[in-house]
Amino acid sequence: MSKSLVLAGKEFRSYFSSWLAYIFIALFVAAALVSFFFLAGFFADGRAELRGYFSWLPLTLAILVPGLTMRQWAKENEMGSIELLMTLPAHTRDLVLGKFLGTMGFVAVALLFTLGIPITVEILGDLDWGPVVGGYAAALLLGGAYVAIGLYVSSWFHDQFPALLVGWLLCGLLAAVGHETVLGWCEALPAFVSRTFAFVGFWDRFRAIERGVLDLRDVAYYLSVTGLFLYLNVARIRTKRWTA
Amino acid sequence: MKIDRTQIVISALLVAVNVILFNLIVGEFRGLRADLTDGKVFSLSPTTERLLAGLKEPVEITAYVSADENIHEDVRPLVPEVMDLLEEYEIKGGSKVRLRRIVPEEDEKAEKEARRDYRIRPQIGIFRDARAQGVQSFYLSLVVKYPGSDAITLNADDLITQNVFAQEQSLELKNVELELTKAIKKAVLGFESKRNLFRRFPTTIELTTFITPADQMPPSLKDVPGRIDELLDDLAARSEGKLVHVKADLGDEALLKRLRVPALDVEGLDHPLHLAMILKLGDQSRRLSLLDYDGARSNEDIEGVIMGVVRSASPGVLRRVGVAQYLPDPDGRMRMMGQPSLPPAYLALARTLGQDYDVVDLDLGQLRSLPADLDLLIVMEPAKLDERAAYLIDQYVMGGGKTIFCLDRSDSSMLDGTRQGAEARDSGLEELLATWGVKLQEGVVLDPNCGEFFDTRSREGTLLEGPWMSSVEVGLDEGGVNREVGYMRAFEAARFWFPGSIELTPVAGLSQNWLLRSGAESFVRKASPQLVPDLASWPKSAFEPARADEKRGRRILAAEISGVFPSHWADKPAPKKEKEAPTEEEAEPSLEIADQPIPSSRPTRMVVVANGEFLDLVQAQVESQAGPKYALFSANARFLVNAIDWLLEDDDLAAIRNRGRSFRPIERLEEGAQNRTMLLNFVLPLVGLAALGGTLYWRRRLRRPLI
Repeated sequence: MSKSLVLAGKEFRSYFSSWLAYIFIALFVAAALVSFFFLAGFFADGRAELRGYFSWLPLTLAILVPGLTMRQWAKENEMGSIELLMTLPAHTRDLVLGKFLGTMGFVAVALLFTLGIPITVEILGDLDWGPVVGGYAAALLLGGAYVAIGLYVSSWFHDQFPALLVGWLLCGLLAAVGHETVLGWCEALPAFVSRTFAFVGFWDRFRAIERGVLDLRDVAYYLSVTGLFLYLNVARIRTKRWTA
Repeated sequence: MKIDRTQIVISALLVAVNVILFNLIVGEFRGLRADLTDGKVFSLSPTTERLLAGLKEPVEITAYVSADENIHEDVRPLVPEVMDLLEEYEIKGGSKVRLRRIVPEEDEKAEKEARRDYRIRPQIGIFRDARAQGVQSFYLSLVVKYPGSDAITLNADDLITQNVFAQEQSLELKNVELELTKAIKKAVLGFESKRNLFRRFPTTIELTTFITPADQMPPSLKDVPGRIDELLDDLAARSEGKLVHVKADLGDEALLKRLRVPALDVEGLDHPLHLAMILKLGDQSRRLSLLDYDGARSNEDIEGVIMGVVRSASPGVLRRVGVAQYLPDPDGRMRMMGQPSLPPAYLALARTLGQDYDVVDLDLGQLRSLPADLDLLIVMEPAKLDERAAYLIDQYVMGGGKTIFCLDRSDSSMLDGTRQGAEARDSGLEELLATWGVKLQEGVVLDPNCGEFFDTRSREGTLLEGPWMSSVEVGLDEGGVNREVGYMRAFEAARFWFPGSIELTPVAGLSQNWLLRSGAESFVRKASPQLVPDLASWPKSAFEPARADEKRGRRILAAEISGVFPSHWADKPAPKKEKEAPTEEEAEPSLEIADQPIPSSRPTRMVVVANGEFLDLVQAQVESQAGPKYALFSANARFLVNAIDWLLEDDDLAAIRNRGRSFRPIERLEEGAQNRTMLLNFVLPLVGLAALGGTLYWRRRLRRPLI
């Protein structure tokens, strides 16, 4: 685990050595503010709550997280530095976990920069912080799942761009299938399709946590998806190592 | 260890399968959750938990809910919340709650049963959005059944409401726990009251049965007379002498004709078939035919029918609420000038209250008596009431009666479409209320910080929009609602139209609290025929802004008073009663008004709202049609319900109703301040980001080797 943390620290710092990280955070915060103030109409609505911000988060994160993870393995593959990584006296799971935790640290920092929204609401009204805590917990769980998916996808490519595209596709699909609009489109299909979509999709589960209810089933789902893709990532790298 | 590639793939697949199985297993662990909200709004309240723990028999909750794909997308997200809550009932109730979900479209028999026994029909919703407009029907109903009691049905209308505060049309759940717990309480009360029901009757109940003897019955009904006899004898024994069962002589045709006893000619029978009973209580009698109920019905069903009639005639099972308002003239004549015009709004109010209370309509224009068993009296928009009516209300309060007054000192009723202003007018109750420390101020409150208003009563019949000062909104800023008062904690907001204001002065023995207040910039203007909106001169406010002599500040729009009330007639003689022929209504038991006034009350409670039109539900309905953002008047009805909870000391339901705060308003900002707030939110993270980048950059530079 200590090796993972060392690697995570390295990955985390490496994000901030490039302007890309700052652009990412700026875009993320801008998207959050636009969704909160303009799309959800905070002032017109007049309610001291953050639903307008959180309700767009599954989509915002689905777009931005693959941008963070695309380079993680793809760049190693492209540069050939993966060979070097394989020679490190670290277990494959430490490598994967290191990259995951480093990226998660960065996502957490990005979320931290949106704390101005609840603070503003608290100043203007009496904010219930329970759903806010739930919302940020849900954002971290969702972010974790996206990061795990993005890392796994990245491990398959030697070029960052296809990793980004496939990452978007997969994260977007998992976000979208649970959305009520998509479920509405499934009306013509057999009932089990929409039930499966509702079960697999991220959106509905995110809504439940975001309203302030941390249900074991939702938490377990996010964690298990994260765990599954991290395991698949480890398996993928181990296969590579074996091939090498 | 050498790792085979196939092994890796297989293990990865096994992990994936395990993850799916894990989630399927975890999916069964219901109720393991943390409710992070203030007030635990997504968890069952202690009141409900106590109710469930105290159930003697299991309560059955059946959810008739369409499959997700058949429910419109606006309603679909709300269904899991309803089902989650039902699961909470099941988990917390243990063996005392049986939960079933039925998808009516997939179970034809259940659908028929739902329609026949519980009158459940698919909900038809009209939805409009940017893409389309359409109609979709779906099921979303709950049925609560408690052994020996009538089933109670909650339909979608009872569970879902329009979000009146949203910018666009959106639906949200009502307080489902409140509705469901209320239903369980009602069902249990229905059962409990059966045992105590007869005690409530002041006199003996005579139940005369007109039933064809068993030997003359068709084969399928041969057992019915015996079953009914047995049942009624059992009821009579339980009634402790209050129920007398009499078997009528079916040979007395004159009697049958006089009482209009229903009979049925059955093929193969040479005599008419009688299966009826008449319940007589004092002067009242109710006829009941069992012909509609086939012989296959169980004893419980037949007992349910009989008890239903007994219950409907029983005093005090439901709380009785008297709504005193000006009722339409029965002969259609227009009222005399000076009297307010017909307010059909309060008939809608009576219907709304009728869902939970036994509502008695009282005509303020002819208020000469009050029913003796009123639990609560609501006085709506009184105008120029005479002294005798005021005395009647005073003595009702002295008898411990609970009251709500909605009144002011101006007439802003504009239903004739010729006036839009507010004219001075007295209610006739000013002196009476002053005795209890409630002084109704002259003039109307105008508030420059009001929201947009929609006037349905413009002369041209068009809709006018604009922040009219005569439309006073409270609760949209902090300080408008007294959230220190328990039942107001979760209250959202209210809207008044030309409200009056209240000044509270201390009275020994009484506790007074303000409940709703106007904005800090509001002021009072003298009511006069000239007080009309003038959009030409004041296009933004419709009224002249506060003049130098009009002091700005918050004004009390609603208040509560509790304690021992002194009588206004404590030291003076009662006003003389007009000699009039007793009406049919007066033949019913009514409150005896003694010539010697009762000088002070038993501890009781009162709510005063300084606005006659506060509960104009017709206006509320019209507003709702115009769009959700205009529908604040609907929220006024919620204030009424909260107040009734407090007045009737129904603390259990009030505790559920007021858990958490569903609406938390933000401070209203001018457009400039809004823009500055948004700008700050955009700029500060950028500054923070720049600071972070700068710090990291300098740290890296400092670490860089000098050579």
